[in-house]
Amino acid sequence: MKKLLNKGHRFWMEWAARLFFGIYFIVAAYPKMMHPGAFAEIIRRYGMIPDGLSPFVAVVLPWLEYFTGLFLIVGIFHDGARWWGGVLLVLFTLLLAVASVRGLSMDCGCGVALFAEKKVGWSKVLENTLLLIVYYYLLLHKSIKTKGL
Amino acid sequence: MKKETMVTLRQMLWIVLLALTLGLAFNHISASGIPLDVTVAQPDSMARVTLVEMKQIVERGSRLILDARYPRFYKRAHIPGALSVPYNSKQLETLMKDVAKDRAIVTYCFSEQCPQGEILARRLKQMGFTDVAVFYEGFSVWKAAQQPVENKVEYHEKTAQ
Repeated sequence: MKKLLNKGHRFWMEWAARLFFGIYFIVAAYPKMMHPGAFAEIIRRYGMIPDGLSPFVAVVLPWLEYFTGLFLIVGIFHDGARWWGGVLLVLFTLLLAVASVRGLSMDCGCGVALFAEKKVGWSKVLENTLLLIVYYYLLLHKSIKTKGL
Repeated sequence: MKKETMVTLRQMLWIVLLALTLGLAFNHISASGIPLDVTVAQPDSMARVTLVEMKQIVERGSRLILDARYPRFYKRAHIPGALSVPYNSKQLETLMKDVAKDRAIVTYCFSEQCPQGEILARRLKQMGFTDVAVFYEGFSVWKAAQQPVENKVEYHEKTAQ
């Protein structure tokens, strides 16, 4: 009985997490999809990839984020979407951490910020790290694979 | 490799392919699409106005500022005092007919990756304007530098006065 209850709780927690992170990724992707020029400039200012690659990344990355969010909610390619969500969160957190160490002061290009400012800084790194921990425990660590909407 | 892992990897690949295809297609048809080849913008081929100089221009009104983006982006927000002259405007000659050819002008678009600011500047040069410069860093850097923006719409017809 106890085990069943735990599984029931876990089911709803996982479902809520998918909805939350799905919306999170879609909302974060939208402004970047609409303004790739501005996003390319932000990528260039991070200085982590060659300048020539920034327009390409600015065009494709928001769509990857968008489909990750959409598929998390809808339940299509759900394993792939879960892992992409994790990869993107790790990637963004690392980029923010490196930019913070280097003392960059600029718009983070995050698209969405829950508690912190939408700027490069340790508060945004902390926010992303907390999200990553929640994401890992609810959607990657022994997930029970809830169905889509 | 486990079958489950293979399935997950295959799904991840499909998601990337979908993002790649739709991202590139959308960029191709979108008004805010950007050239993927950065050499298109040729950043050093026109007189360049830096962010610091742009701040002074806005404060002093020393140059006519032209926003080369599509009007809907201009309407949302633009550099204070800028007038909307879309880079592909067919009425460019009419719009600029009363502006003196030696009037100092600066154009801009979103960022260094967008070509619109430079295209407009080239068209103006071809029309005989002698002092045309481009603020290549564009609106995104202006906004990122937390400079004031304006969303009051001033139509380009006013440039003629």
